[in-house]
Amino acid sequence: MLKIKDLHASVEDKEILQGVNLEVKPGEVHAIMGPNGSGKSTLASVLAGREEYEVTKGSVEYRGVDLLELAPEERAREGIFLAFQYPVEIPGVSTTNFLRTALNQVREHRGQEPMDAVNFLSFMKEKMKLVDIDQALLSRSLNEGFSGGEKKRNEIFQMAVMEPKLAILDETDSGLDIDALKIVANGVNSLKSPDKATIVVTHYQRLLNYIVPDYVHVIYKGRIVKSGNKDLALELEEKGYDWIKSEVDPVIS
Amino acid sequence: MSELINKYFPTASGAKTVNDHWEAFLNVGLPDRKSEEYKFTPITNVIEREMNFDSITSDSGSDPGVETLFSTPYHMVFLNGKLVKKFEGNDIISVAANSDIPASEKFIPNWKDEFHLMNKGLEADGVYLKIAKGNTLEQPVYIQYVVDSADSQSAAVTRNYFHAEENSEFQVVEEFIYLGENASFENTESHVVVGKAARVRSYKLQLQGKNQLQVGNTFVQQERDSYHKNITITMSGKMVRNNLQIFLNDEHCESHLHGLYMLNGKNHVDNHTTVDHRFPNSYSNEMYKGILTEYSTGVFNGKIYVRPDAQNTNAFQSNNNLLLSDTATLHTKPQLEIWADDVSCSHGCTSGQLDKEALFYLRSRGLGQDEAKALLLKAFVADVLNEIDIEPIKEKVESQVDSVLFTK
Repeated sequence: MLKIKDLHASVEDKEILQGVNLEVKPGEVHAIMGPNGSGKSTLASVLAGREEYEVTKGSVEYRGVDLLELAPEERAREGIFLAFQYPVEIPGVSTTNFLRTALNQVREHRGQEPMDAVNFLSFMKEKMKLVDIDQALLSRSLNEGFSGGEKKRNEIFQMAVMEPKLAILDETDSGLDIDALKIVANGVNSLKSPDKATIVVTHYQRLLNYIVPDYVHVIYKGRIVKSGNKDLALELEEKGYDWIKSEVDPVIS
Repeated sequence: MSELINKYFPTASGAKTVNDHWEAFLNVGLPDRKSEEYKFTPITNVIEREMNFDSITSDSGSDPGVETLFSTPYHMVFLNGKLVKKFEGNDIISVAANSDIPASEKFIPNWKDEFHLMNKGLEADGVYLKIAKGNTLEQPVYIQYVVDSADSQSAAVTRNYFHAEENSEFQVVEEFIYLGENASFENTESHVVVGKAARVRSYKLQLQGKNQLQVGNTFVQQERDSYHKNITITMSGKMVRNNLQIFLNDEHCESHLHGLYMLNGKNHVDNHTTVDHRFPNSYSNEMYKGILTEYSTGVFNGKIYVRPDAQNTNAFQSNNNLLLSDTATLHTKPQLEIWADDVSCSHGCTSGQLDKEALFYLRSRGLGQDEAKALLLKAFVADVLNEIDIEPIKEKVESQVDSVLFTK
């Protein structure tokens, strides 16, 4: 589904990603972990097409197409979804009033009929249950005055509506209490299917108790320095990142 | 300049005669380069450069029958400053010529604006409408000011008076329409008296036109317990200056001033507003928003006076702008002068670009770049549009958000 080869990316002339290699197959859940500033969120942003990041080298192939050639909206229409670490507040735009437009753009791209307001409403209500989100919240200005938990639930709600093939969760667990964490994780798990893949970017192992990864990768200094199964996450939780740093630093510097 | 006006303007404009006030205007003349009030809107220069009053041909004509935004029995049309369509009065609304104003009406303030003095010194077409005490006019008064400059340049001077008597209510819509591509100049005045406990909502719509130069003065006098709301929407104009003066002449007045300007090309629009709190316990709320792109220029100046007697005044003002190109220009200046001590006043002005992060967010959900921008722009203007109580006007303005900003 996704093949990242030797990916280098910079922001303001500072090279953040320095040769990332990663392959994700349908049905898999990959966790990307790493210390702060290692490049985890950059990887998520580059995959979603954030324009401040310049890809200087390498390639990303997504379902047979060159992902880096696509605009952010084209990536979304092709089935990529980024749940933001810091969901944006947009005064005057409610979730409901942009989401139907967004969904219909995606449906049009897939050759499906647009969804009318009535059908969209019942479709939306079904998805709202997944993350226990209130309709009143979705009619308010997007994320304005939302609590941290409400913002993250709104991200997962939107993900449920968009039904992406590849979901990328960028530190979705940050700022969540345990109850909100469970709700978010349940939402993500209920969307799992053999033809869909998920990349979970996180600093802590906590979320991975609820969203169980098939693979865990540690990113450090802009490259993946260690990969393993879910036990690697537990080891990191127990020992921190220092042992990785001391293992890797002599080799790459 | 005075010479130019003296020579050509009165004879060519359709306002053929000057009156006793003309000398007073000539003594002052039009604002020059040093004028503080017209600092960012060099209208005199532009009039001199663009207008050739001598070339203006006959301005006679009949109702051009331009498209209307809605229908109402109270429809009037001016063509190049001449009243060419009016309606008959009834028990609720009386219609008279502006020359028939009784001396008891105190419409005209002592106001220094040069264009006001010019208007005052010229005989001009216009009406004197009065809403009778205790009545509500169910449908709006709708005035279309048509300037036809298809065959030659055009100039128009108009002056209208509206008086809502005690405890009456009405709405007035003034729409400015331009036919033809030659330059034109207008000097328009509207005087509104909002009587005791009366309610008036007025709209000024400048939605199209390319080569018009326009200066308009609107004077609003509010009496005790009255309510007034003004909405000014400007989408176009080579150089447009809107002066809006609100005088709160008694206690417990409520006044709302809302404006929206969305400009592209080389359009230049200037809104100068004044709210004069003269008595205690009144409330004013002003919100102007602007979106500027290409080479357009926006000017906003908001004066709020809170006189020594006007204790317990609440006065709010905001002017927020989006600049969508590096070549657009904005001048914004709040000007609060407060002599009373027990007041609550606030003002704020902002200018910025569209939030890049918000754009990326919407695009990451599948919205195209232009759709995402349009959505953010509509959200930005929504709180002004939501103040429009006449649905067809609101729809018309909404539909123009895209066309003004995505012309290419």
